[in-house]
Amino acid sequence: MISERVYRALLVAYPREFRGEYGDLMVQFFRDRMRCDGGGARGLIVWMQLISDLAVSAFNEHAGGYGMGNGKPVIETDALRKIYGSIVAVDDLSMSVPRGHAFGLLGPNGSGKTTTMGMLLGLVKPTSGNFSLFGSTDGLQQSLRRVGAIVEYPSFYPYLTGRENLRYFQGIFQRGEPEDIDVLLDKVGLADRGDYRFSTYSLGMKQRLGLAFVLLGDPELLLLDEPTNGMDPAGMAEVRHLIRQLAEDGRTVLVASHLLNEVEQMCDSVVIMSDGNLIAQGSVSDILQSDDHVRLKTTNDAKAVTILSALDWIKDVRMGDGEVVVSSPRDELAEISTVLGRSEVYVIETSSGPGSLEKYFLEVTGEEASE
Amino acid sequence: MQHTLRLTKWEWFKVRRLRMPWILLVIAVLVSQLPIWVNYLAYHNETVQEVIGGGTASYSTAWDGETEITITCSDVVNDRMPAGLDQLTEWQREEFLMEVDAWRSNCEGFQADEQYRRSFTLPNSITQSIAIVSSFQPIAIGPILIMILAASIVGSEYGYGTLRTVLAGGIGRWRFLIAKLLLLLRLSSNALIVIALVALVSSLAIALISTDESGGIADSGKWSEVVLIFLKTVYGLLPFIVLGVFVTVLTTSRGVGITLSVGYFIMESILATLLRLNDTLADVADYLLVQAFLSWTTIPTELNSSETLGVFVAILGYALVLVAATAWVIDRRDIGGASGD
Repeated sequence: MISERVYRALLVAYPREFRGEYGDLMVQFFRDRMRCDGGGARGLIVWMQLISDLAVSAFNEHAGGYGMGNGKPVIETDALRKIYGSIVAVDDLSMSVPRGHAFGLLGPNGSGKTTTMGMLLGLVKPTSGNFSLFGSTDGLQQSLRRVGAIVEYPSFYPYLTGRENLRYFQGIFQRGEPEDIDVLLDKVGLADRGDYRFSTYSLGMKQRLGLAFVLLGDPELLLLDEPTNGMDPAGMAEVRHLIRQLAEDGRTVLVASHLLNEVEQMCDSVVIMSDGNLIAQGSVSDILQSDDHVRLKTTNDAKAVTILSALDWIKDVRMGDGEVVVSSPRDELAEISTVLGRSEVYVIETSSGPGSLEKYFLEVTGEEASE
Repeated sequence: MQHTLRLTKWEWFKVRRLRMPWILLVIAVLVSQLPIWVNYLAYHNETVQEVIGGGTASYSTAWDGETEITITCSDVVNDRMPAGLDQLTEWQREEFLMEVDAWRSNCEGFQADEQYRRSFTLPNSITQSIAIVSSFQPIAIGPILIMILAASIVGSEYGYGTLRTVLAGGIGRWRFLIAKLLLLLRLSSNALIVIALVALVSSLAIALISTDESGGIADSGKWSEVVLIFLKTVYGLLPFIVLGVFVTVLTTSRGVGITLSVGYFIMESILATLLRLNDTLADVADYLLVQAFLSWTTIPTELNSSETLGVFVAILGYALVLVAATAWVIDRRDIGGASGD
């Protein structure tokens, strides 16, 4: 007769991260089975079957990040809201970040990106709403052990060297082995500056150290806030490449940025935020395909806006950056051109979606191009 | 608990690379060694010797050439009766005590001299050096230094923005707080151990350089007093550690944390003086944080057992209330970025 104690002993041999999640369930299951079947060899066979089932289940759960999972979102927020006094920093944000994606959190300064990240990391208490990491709404600290994050800018101890900083955080988080640090420093291009104090680093070097930090222990989810801030063009390209590489390797990367071009190059999907609100969410290609704006350059843009504003079948029209932006399907373009021609306003050039993410962003957020 | 201890271990890795703790330690060590060397120099100063006179004088008398009783100034000032006194007849004893009484004034100088000697000979030198750091009047430097250190260590996490980095990695806020408190407790214990060791070395050095019997080893006080003052001081410093942490967590600023906690120390001393002007309120003054600490660590203690228990409970109460308040504040607050303080 195989006792429960033996099953528990067998359970110990099972990988720790699965044991905690399924252990009690398994023991309960065996207890029930033994009651029915009388335990013994048959119980052992059932145990092995269950192990096998759980292994498949756990593999799907944990290997999801490697593109083979069940597609369960890594991050899910439900009506997440944060209010500071009279300011609504994040307003009922509901978004979903799938596994194994590079995901962009786009928005102008003050749109609520950093506050959102802060809430996901337990640094900022939500006023209302919920969120889950890895499908779990409880045990945030446990979930955060699978996350590498830098919020706003890399903050490290200025009196420690880059290497010592990584060693310290590796120690307190119990992530990886000491020898990993050399590999990480090399990976982010700080191999020869690892023994310099953090206070002597340039902003770009601090960002690089931040990247090495988030990669400690090879986390499943990376949250990066403006990761290329302060970097030179070559450094920015390296970071973009690194983030793409991480996503291709199956990790989920959430990048908050206001650099639209950068996000477009790095990310598969985006959430666009403005004034704390979610404006758009989806894959970059879908968002650009859904762009129903037609852009016109005419002989008299101001007059064109006046004429088109009077038409009830045009949803929206406004002056863009040296062009007239008309919210209308592309197949209406001939009709638009005809109407304008009747008033002796002639279309010189036209373009429509899919345009760039930057144009789309500026249109939906009502921002103006800074350059 | 294992995670918290690990965190404390790594805090030590970090804090030992800071300059501030070392500077504060040097200050504490210098202050603690000051009485040892000043008293030693005073003891060997001829002018002082002449003033205090008496030195190691002893009085002896004999009867019938058979019974001789000797009493030293050390016996006199400590109210010890010499051996063999019971061999005397009653009238001889009375005569002896009368003569000793008349001679007692000669020992006043010896008493002062003995105090000097006790300050630099073991183990009393260690006891004194720990006590001087914790309760040197009018400024008890121990609590002030530990509050500065606490505010500095916790405040720097806000200033550098590293609190955000630490907490975002899954370190719980309470665990972070407890690790900091344990670290500071460890630092204060380590500092007292260093002070004790330096006092030991000082006394041994004095024993080596002394040309007479005055720099003896292990001939003043008790070693148990060393252990007692060490434990009492560590315990007494606990609420000051938490006070420094609490004020810093509340203000999220190292500078303000130091200013407010040290400011409280000074203000409380003034308040206690004012309260003591009134007989009824004088008892309240005794249980204010700083006053309780001073009476707790002063050697020799002037407290009776019930007062000792009262002060013990008061110190514990302050520590627990401040820990609870700090935990409450740190748990409710949003954690911002670097304040640059």
